[in-house]
Amino acid sequence: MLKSLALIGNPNVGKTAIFNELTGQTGHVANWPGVTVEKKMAKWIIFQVIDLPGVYSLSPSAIDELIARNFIINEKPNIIIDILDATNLERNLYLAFLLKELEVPIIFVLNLMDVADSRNIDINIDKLSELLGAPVIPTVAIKGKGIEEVKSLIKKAIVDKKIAIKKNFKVTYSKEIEDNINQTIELLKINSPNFLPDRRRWVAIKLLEGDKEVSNELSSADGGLIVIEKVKRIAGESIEFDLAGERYDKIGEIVKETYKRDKNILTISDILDKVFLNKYAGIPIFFLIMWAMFEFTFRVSAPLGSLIEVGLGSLGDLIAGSWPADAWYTSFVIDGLIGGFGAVLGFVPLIFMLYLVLSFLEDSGYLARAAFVMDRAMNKIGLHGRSFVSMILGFGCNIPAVMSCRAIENEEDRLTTILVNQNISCGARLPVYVLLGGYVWGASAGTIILLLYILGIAVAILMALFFRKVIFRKSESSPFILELGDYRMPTLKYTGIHMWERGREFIKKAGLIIFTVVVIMWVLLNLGIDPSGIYWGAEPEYSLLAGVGKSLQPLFQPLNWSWIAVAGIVFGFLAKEVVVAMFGLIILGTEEAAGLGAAVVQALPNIPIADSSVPFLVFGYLVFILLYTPCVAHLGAVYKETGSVKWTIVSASYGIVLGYAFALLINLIGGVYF
Amino acid sequence: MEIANNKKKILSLLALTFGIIPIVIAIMELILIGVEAVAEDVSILFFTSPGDAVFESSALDHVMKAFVNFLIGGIFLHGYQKVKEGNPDGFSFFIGGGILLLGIGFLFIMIWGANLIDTAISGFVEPEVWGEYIFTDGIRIEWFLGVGAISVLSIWKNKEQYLTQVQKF
Repeated sequence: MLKSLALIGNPNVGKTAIFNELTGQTGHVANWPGVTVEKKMAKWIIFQVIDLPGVYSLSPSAIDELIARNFIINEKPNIIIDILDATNLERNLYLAFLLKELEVPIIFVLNLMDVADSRNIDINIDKLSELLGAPVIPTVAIKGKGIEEVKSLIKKAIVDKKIAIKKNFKVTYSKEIEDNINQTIELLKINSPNFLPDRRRWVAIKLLEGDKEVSNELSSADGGLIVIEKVKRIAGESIEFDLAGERYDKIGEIVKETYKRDKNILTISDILDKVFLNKYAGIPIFFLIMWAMFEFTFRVSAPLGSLIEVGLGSLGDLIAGSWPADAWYTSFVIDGLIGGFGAVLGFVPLIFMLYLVLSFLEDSGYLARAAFVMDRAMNKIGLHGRSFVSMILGFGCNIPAVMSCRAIENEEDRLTTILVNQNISCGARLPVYVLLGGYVWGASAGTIILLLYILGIAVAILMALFFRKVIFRKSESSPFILELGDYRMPTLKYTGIHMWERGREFIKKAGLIIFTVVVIMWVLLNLGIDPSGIYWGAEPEYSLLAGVGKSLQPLFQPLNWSWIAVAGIVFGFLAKEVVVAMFGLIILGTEEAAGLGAAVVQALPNIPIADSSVPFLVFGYLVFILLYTPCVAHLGAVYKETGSVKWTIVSASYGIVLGYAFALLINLIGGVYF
Repeated sequence: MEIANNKKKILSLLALTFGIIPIVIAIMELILIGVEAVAEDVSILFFTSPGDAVFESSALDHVMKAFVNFLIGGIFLHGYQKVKEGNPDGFSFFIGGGILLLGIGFLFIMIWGANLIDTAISGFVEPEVWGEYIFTDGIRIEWFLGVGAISVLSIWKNKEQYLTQVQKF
């Protein structure tokens, strides 16, 4: 049977990097608090290694902290590795103390030693180990330094049993608090002897602190209610604060003995933060970086996209020239696979470039700063800054972004953030923007795409305001604490892994969902209905696919969208990449199509409009794509996280209403009807 | 920490130069919008040619360039103000502005390289197109990279000469 090894630590200390180094996995590593939303597991020799969420303490009020605590109590891991940030020892030791109180076997890993060195931080590791009563190993996990020592120690302790890892280290408090703890332990022994007998001291401390989770569990145990009642009389009003205060006093003593820092060192992080977090320059710099991101994504991926297009075009010509023209399989390969599926494949380099830049910004530590900068602006209108952290995750994909809202303690803030995240433009929408925008706006497309992203952020902020003030009638915003780690030069290895992890999801989705939908759409495009029944080989205009678009087209008549545009929206519910595939399928199948972007733009209006109004119609269409439901899987995530059909329906419907209203307004401004 | 007295002059001069040049470029970009509007049909600012469906906005391009230059110029000028006061924040703004310039320079290099490759893939080989890429865009890249590289690398490397540690009592 596998033994269990749990990794724990504050957010952004390098847990996932150590997890990857130990297990050879390629989990997502980022210079960004909260990468580990759920616990991750992988095998290493005889161990099941568990990467727990990053936590500052083990209080039951935050879901991620509760997950970590319950795992340690219920699963009883054979060994725990607590990863400490060498640049911020004092804060990290608080969690170490809480773990020590749980009396579990711990090894401490002192990570980010390279950053500590650059800051002239000197740590007496032997003394720290002695004071903590556990081994302490220095590492630079992202470069693999010190990992062999960690592995060797774990093997010696658990596999070879050559050394013993103490677990009975006790945090000793003042006499008054110790008396209270001992009295509570006695009460537990007498009244609830079977309640966590091996952790009585910890239970006593939690009861004195007024921990609701422990009290609830104890209340259902034999004699538990008696203990709870008596503890209430023992514990003073301030004992929770006294306990925390004494822990910090002891931590202060340890830090004083083991940690020396040259405060006059000016690091690159200090310098960049002066500029990037500046009250006036912070937000413009954020927009400058966003603009640079889209310029890079859009322009640098262009040659790779062209190569794929040229390759697919040549393949199509080859097949068209050698296979029978009227055979169904020729149509399937040329129209369905090359036209539909190939249209999506052409955007793979674009998606990878976007993820490369996002990974670079994340790993460098800038995205955490972006959240900080935006928090200041959001707080002014009473919004919770943690929401913006989830929003930024949404640039990659809205589904993990919705899941990351679990870390938000306040229920209304959490719900608000889940509901507004869909307005943040995910990577899947980018191919649609580029396909249409690339043709309509040419060299200015990068800037127009940036405008779409900014519009998404603005709508998300305004909708958050609406939900908070109108629906939940909340005016106060809860405090937002975001740890800003040092800037780091992203490593090629981890940025590459990170980009690949995200890009792989896109390819998997393209290979499974989009391929399946393309096949279904191809069948629908070839099936037609006439009075004699369903027949094969219908013209696109009279196909079942056209029927889907045409049946809903009257609803979009005020927007002057053709049935092709409407069908794109309908199938876009499944996944946004499908919109591009559908255009490729319908339009590349027609002979007059010279270039996909140009042909789609020509096909969008229902009634012909002036050329000068075309950009407005297209922009309105793209805004609708931006604002309505990202995909079915996103709705599933909203349902899973809210547990409510009502909020799932709200999420789906308000996006459609907003998208429709915006598109109508843009059409009016652009004179689409005049 | 304070800015060393013997380095105040050179640092403030560099900050002022790096601040003024982008501001002048930004103003010129904005003036160009007006010049183009007067010299040609106003719609040229928004469309490749008047009445065309291709909305390749030169106005938007000028506005974005002006924004980038104003921002970088502003950072350097703020740095200049602080350097004059001997405030170490001036040093931070100088290096920060330089890093932004470096980033933008690298962005332009990447775009430049990608355009060259794309042109080659498209089989587009007219000498004037290549000349435009190599000279016009190349000069812009050199400017951004050159300024960024001078300010960040050389001054950051010798930061001990620019900053003095104040004795605390």
